[in-house]
Amino acid sequence: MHKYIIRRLLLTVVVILGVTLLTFLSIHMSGDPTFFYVSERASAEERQAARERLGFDRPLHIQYLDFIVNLARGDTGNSLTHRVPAFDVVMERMPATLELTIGGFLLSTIVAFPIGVLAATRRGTMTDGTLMLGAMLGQSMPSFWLGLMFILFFAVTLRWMPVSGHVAFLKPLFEGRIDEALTNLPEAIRYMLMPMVAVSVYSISRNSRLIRSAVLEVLRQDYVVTARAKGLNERAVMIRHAIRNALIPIVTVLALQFAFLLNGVIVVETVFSWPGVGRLVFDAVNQRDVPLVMTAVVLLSFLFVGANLIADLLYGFLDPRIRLE
Amino acid sequence: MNKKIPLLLSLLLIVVLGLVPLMSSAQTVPTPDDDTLVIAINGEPGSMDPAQVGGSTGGSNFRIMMHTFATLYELGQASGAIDPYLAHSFTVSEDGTEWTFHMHEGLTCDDGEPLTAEDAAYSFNRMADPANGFTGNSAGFVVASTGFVEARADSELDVTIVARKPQNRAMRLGLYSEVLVHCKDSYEAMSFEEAARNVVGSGPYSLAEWVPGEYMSLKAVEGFGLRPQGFENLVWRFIPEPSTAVAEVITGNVDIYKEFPANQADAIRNSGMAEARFFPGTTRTYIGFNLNPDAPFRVENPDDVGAQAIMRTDVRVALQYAIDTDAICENLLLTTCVRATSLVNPSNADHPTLEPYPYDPAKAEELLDAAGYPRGDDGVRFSLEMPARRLTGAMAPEVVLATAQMLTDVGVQTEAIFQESGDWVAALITHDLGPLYFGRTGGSEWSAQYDMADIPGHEAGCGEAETNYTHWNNDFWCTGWDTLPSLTGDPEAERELEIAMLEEFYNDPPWIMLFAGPRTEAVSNRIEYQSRADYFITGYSAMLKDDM
Amino acid sequence: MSASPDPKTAKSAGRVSSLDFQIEEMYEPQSFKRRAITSMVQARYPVVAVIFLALIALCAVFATQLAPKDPNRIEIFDTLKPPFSTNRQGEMEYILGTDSTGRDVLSRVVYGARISFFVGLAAVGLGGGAGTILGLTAGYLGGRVDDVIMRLADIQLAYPFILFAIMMLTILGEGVLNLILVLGIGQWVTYARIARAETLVQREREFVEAVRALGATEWRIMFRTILPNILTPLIVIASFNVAGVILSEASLSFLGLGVPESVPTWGAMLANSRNQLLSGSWWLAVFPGLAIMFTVVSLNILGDWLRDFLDPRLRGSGQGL
Repeated sequence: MHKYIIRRLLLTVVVILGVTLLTFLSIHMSGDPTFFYVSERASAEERQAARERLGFDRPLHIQYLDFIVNLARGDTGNSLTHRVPAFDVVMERMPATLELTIGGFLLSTIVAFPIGVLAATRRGTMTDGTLMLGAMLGQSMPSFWLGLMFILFFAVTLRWMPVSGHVAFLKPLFEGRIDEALTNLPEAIRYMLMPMVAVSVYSISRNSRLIRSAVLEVLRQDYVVTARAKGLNERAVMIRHAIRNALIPIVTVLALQFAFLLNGVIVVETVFSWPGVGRLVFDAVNQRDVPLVMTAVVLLSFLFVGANLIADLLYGFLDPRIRLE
Repeated sequence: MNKKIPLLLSLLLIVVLGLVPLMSSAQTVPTPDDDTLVIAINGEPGSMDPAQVGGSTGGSNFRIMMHTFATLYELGQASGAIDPYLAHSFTVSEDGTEWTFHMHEGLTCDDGEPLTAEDAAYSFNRMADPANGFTGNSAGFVVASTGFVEARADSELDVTIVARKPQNRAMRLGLYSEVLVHCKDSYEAMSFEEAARNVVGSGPYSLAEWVPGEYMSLKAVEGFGLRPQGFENLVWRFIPEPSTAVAEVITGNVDIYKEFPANQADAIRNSGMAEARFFPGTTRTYIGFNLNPDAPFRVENPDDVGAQAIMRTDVRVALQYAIDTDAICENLLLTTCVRATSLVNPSNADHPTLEPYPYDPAKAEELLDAAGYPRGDDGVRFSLEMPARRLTGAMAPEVVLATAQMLTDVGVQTEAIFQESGDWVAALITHDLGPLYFGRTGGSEWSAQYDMADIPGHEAGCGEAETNYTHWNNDFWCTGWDTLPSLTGDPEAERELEIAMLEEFYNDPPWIMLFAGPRTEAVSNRIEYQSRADYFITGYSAMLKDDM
Repeated sequence: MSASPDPKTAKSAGRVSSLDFQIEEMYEPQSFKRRAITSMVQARYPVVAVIFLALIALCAVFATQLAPKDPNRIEIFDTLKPPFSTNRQGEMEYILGTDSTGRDVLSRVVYGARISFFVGLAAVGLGGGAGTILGLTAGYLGGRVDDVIMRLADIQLAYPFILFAIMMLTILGEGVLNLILVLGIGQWVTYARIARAETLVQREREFVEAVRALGATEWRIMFRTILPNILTPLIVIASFNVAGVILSEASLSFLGLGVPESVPTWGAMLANSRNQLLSGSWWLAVFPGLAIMFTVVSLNILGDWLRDFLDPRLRGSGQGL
């Protein structure tokens, strides 16, 4: 087990190197980033001076190695647009992105469970049909679109919800200000609700369909049939056998879902003016803020790798037949 | 373990999650307090260093820093009259290279540091020093365009700014007024990283709170007498998505939102919360003809008929008649605008002889036929590509596409190609963009020469000059530009030459002249606020209405 | 929705039999086709989905003939006309209205089918094809090759897709091919992982041994013997995947990335409608939105059915949902 984790960590290093190399090459493939950091009136000499100052005149491999060496020392360099360390710029946005991702994750799991189980137990009935139709529809709308619809309906027409904005919860929590985090919580949830739902509708739909078929599959297994034959009541069958065994495939997918949600969050953040990394990275790419893009990619990749690792560990934990080596 | 727990727990959580918002929604969403003005902007400031305004970070930090920092003076909108600020007057040396500003007594910065001529000189020199690596409006544009050499403090209250050459008073007048003044001791004590995130201001407001990605709130500086302070607090909210910003206006959470999409005007008006304003802007919008003989599209493709055709003056004149600017303004921008007669904004192009080219597609076709470019069997005379950027307002893709359609309608098949900003700029400043490009350039309302400076004279290289993006090599113009400074003492002769040069531009056009892009601004009904034709938002001048 | 006559037992029977029997059992045209049609008709919904998708495909192929107008034709005097509007000559011209530049919404929806479908199929074809081959190679050859391919997959998995798409599209610029490339690269890992896992199982099977003993080349074993036997789950996933790709295209359009303005897509239409939404020009959003919704739902229904019909083992595994 320990060996496994160590191997995974080593693998992470390889992955991060690959991810940074890919990012680095593509950002430089699109031409000289210097043009973003000179005025439209800059002369050729001024452009050259800027190129040297920013270090873009050096050979590409030197620039890349330089970044990696500094990264290993914990120095990401200054963002070219924010002019402060790129690491700080990304980290102050990370809590907001995590709020939405974790919130969306919880929501998509919690809501999908009862829906999936209900649909499976009522298989073939009106309830099942309605729930699954809803799930199909939920999987057919882009999240940005749902977000705008929520704003239009719940914020502008009904005035129940704030249009956009954010109240911090994780940030004070991470910084140890627990009282503040707790005081903020109700408002934080209120601001979070619409973006969170917009981000997770797709996943809720997907998960509930998945849970439904996983439960159905288990119900068909011999041991469930046996349990039923033994005269256990239906609820006991469901809980003792069906749901627990259905958990195994579900958990793996749910953990991968985390990474999937993070993708959606990046888009939805723009709709709700959510101060996360999504918009930051988008702007940084557009402005060829090389250190900022690289740092954001590294940090987000860590998150992805972490989520995948947890998924694998959980899988091994839930299903003792699988041994991690 | 009770087997029901997981299911019950999940149901409970759903109920709780559902109830929290409903309970708190019993209170309606609060609108801003009477002492707080909320302004929405799409971009967000990167650095708040007063020497790093605009540029790659977008202009949003400039908009905000206009409140936290003062300048030596400002120029009145439209009039161009000098509006004193930190300085009350200025004198010009005999040779015209040295301008000395006389500053008010008893000024201070936010940290209590006295603000003197030394600080003003420091502000100019700091942004101009290449070693500091600043870019953007001050370091990039002001320094290059005014021929800045250095600034020095002659005394406690007199600061002198030295330029290489005496020429172009209008340009210098306009640009010196854009340099943000900050205190030397305060900024020397900070590293560049600290200066990017902290503000020791000299203006009517100081930075109270900055939540990156979310908002920045400013607080009125006590006892600041040089500018009004209509509200105690100014909150700048960063809302990247225009529809979201409009929704915030409609629900009364945002007081000022400049450049809302024109189509949302009705929604704003119908909400009863805000007014949807349309007014002429200062940003000159045009279609450039790239005349650079060495541009890659000409060199690599010497047989391209279109690229060669636009080298001819008669073709360029013909195409002027193909564009219906009135229809574009009325149907896409939902307002009216005046077509430009040159590169100068209509509002300061007071030349008696020039009438805007009318929309007359038949005439355009006739002239193109006469120029030797008849329609082919497929109805096409020649084809052109038109790079553009994906911007908003008067530069919106809709406008770009409409112009391409109009050119196509007279047989010049035009394809608009939306490029990413960096590629666009890189090709623009090397004069490689085109053959057509849909462009814009900032302008003024008060000086023809400020606008004309885009195309400088032989001394700057004429066609080769960096800012002469179309590579327009017109000897009359370039000689004229070089002659203008010598006429500074004779306004009549200067004006006469100006007019002759603009006529030359009209008759040998390097642009298809469009308009000064109209602007939109949503302004809450609870405030009184004068919209500005340029990019800026002067929140300090907004006032709560009396009856509120 | 699953009404197949228990193909599960049929399949596992095939697993222990000879190669010839295996292929015949799965791919013998007559009985396979008949079984498919029977199963589909019994399930009802897949028939509706197939009809709808056929309709969309028809639009895509015959867009030029079907669309009443040039989808890019700007009519500056006929902007934002509601559905069933007349043009300036008083003729009924705009059945589904016009957009903010006066382009005909109906024509754009018809042409949009072309791109949405083409991009969806091409991206999945590209990603699925590349992923399958890489997975197959990794699984069959193992060792160093396996390591390299799977580390590449790990790198890809650690790269947030949307970030990757933003990077690539910003850098490559807009264009249909660029979009297909980016969306395709985003998909390959799923296929590679499944193909590899399936190959590992198939490699050890007797019929593979048999073919090898007969002297078949490695190449032939991989692509002629193993590939046909691992295709089923991949086809099922691909059907769901096309739906996912159509939605991704819409999200990228929202960020201003994707195909050029001159190429109408449903996603871009939906994304562009947002500036008119608050003003009540509902038709700009509703029609492309419905097109996306019906297509995606149809593809999902079809995918469900395909899975139940071809490979019910996948049902509980969560793959491809």
